[in-house]
Amino acid sequence: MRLADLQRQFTAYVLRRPNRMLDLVAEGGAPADLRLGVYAHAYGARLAEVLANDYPQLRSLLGEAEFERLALAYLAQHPSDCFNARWFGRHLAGFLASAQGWCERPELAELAALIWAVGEAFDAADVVPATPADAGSLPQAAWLNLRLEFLPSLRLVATRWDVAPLVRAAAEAMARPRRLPEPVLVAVWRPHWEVEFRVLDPDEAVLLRAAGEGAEFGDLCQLLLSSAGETAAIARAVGLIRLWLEQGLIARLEHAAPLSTG
Amino acid sequence: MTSLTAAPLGFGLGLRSDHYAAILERRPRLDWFEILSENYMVGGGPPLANLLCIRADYPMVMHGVSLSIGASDPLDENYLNELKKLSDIIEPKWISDHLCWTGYGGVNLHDLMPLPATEEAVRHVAERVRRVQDRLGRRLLLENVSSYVAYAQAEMPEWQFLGAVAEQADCLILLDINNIYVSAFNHDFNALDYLDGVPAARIQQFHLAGHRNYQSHIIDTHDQLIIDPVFELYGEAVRRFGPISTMIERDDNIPPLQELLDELDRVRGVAASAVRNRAA
Ligand SMILES: [Fe+2]
Repeated sequence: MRLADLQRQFTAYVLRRPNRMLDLVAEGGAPADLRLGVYAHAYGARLAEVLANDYPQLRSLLGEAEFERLALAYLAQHPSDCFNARWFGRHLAGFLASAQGWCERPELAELAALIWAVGEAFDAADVVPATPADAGSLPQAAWLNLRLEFLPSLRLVATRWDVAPLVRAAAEAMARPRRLPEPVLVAVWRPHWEVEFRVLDPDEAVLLRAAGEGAEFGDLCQLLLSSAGETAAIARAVGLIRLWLEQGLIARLEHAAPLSTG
Repeated sequence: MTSLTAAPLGFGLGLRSDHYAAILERRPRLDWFEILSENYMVGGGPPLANLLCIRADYPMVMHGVSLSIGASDPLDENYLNELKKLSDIIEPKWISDHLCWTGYGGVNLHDLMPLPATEEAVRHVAERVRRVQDRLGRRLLLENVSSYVAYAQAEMPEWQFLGAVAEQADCLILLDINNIYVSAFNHDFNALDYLDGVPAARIQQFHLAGHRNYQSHIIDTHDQLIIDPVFELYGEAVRRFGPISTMIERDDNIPPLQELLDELDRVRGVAASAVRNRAA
């Protein structure tokens, strides 16, 4: 038998699909199904452990048995396709949002998406954030065309359930989150070595999303004009940029104007 | 006469995140660390930052589990890129992975699956090792794995298979002493035959680890102390091959750093007396 055929048969055995593996194992010692079973068991157990490590809060919320049922269902639909088990769980939020038996509890998919974003922020490229002093040294003329480049770790997660507090809740304090009166946007980022996240104010959410897509300062002020006068809109936009600088969300301030040398 | 292998590094440990703080605080006396390459194939973050701090003070080698050198799927270019990128940052003394396959048809089993000891597999693996070595610009070390099944189609014993791959590929060997013990138990061969059958000139590193014995078979769990018979086998290996770079792999049930340093002292003692025996 060719190498590729053997590997196809063995993989089918591990995935518990039809195979002829029992005929291919040498005799002697422990029975063939017990020996092969070591590999089949290890595959499921290892990836279930990866999911449990990646989503501990979800496990606390669901309980051990229910989480195990989730891991099995997920694994059946998403056999691992990446070399690094670090990324195995990346489809979990999508699975929870669409699979029967799980999509009826939409808060689960939202919690999974937020936990995954925190994990991604943890592993993202390191960039030292800009500071309020960087804005202070901008020439007046630079503001109109100012663009914000955010940290590579920044993620925005939309939620309709109050899942953000669960990410840091103690295991005993896990409870089904309440439905929010209005959907919110949660920002996740890592300014230094600790991942931060917080729920954004409604107007802040609109501005952060637009700024992330490349809007200039002038556009950001425009977005605020429907609910505020011009002076208030500018003050709010400046205030938010200052806040993002203070909290370390911004990597760089980009503008076309020459730097003042004063 | 020039040697194929690098000068021995002495006695090391696998670098694990549980120990970052203790290592950075105490700078313990040990000769080198082995890192798991895949753990650092990320954009950035605390683990990579800790790694670079520790690297400043200790020699390192990179050990991978995902190369899948024996697979019939094509080599994963993305993985090779990540491996090269990391090795450019870490500048490891050497890079190793396993004589195994880890998936088929795009599915990854995240396990070290045994290869059939056939001439076909020797040719297949050797050709791929050569390509990886060209890519990395250095010789690769291949490690013998613990296995729980053997194949009816095997044409030679495992040690002969490992030796043939190493010779045909012109690569080096990472000999895992515990894996020899585990596979000898599971497949009922004599572990000393293994030591006598591998090409001594290509052995550049030893692994030691603990396992779990289920009576009918042993599973290579890396969550226990090294047992006495594995220490004895290690002594036999040092007597044959000399003071090869040795480290302890501990991946689960991880104790405080000091316990591993104590275990490493025991390894040093066994090696020292085996080296004395060798000279005698
Ligand atoms: Fe090993």
